[in-house]
Amino acid sequence: METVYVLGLDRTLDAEARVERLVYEHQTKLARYVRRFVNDADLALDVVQDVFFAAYKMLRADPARPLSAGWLYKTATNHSITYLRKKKRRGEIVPLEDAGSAFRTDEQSAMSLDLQSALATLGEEQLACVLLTTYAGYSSAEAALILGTSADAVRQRVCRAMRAMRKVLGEPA
Amino acid sequence: MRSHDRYESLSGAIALGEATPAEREEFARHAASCALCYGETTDFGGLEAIAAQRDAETWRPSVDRQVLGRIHASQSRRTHVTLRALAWAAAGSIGVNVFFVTGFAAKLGAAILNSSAPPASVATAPFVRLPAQTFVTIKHRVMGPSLIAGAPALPPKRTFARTRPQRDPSLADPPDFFAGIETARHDGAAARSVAVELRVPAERSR
Repeated sequence: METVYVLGLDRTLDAEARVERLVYEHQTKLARYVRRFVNDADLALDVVQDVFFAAYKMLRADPARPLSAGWLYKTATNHSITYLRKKKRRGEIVPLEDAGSAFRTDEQSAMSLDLQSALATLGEEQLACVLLTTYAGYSSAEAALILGTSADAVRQRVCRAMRAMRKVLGEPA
Repeated sequence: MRSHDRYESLSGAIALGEATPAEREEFARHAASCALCYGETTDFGGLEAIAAQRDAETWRPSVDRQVLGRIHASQSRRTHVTLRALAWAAAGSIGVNVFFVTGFAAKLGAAILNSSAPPASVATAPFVRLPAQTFVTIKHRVMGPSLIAGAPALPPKRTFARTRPQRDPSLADPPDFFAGIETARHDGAAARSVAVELRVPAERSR
């Protein structure tokens, strides 16, 4: 599923050119993934910029370092989790209209809002497992590598997330 | 792994489409008798909807210009910092060279050493009465060996604008250290006293 770009081994490109390639290849998918995660399109774009800039700094420091799409997702996931935890600590509540904002450009159906509300009930780790596997398209083994855990743990989190979402989606509106 | 964790893992694998037929069968047998797992082989709690939304996604954001802009800004900042560091390093290097190559460091060291030794002779200038609010500039000039190696020694400065302190006649001529006072009078000023003292280290007084 994942295309691994071993950009660091292409010594004909400098750090900027490598990052440029990464950006063109992954910006859309990564931004969509982060938007689902943080439920905010503008913030998602900020996070994605930070991720690519972090990639640039890493490649500048170590030009021979291989850099895969998995690294981008890992960094984006960590940034998103940090953001969500900060938001929780501040006690911010996302209004329902905003909860659906991530879907506003493509679908505004009641189901999207319900689904986003269901996703909002998940913990960060469960959310990461669900989005990496069902949205970003990684297998549980790949998601486990990205999240630094085991494939069994990823599957269990997906199962528990499924149960939690089923409860929310099963409730009458 | 707890016994039920195994079935949660199987349930997740089935939902993600990663379970083998044997695993599916094992989970189905368990789910038939487990209230928690019952129905999980068919109801995936919104996972299909998430996958469907991914396929229907039309949002195509672009951050390439912003990222490249940040990279260029970072590069110019780095260049600026590097140039500034180089400029400081060059200035420091020149300063250190001047300090050591010209022998100023040695002179300074000798002066420090000499300052700790008791002075052999002290030439004290008499008190000079000057008007109050007098603008006083005290000039101190080190004579003797030149600051720049190889250059001729500067001639001693013997005269000063208005006032010249008395010198101890036992001092060498010219003295190694020389000081003077320049005064500038302001209108309506009252008198005040200014003391000047010349101190000459022992080995320089000869």
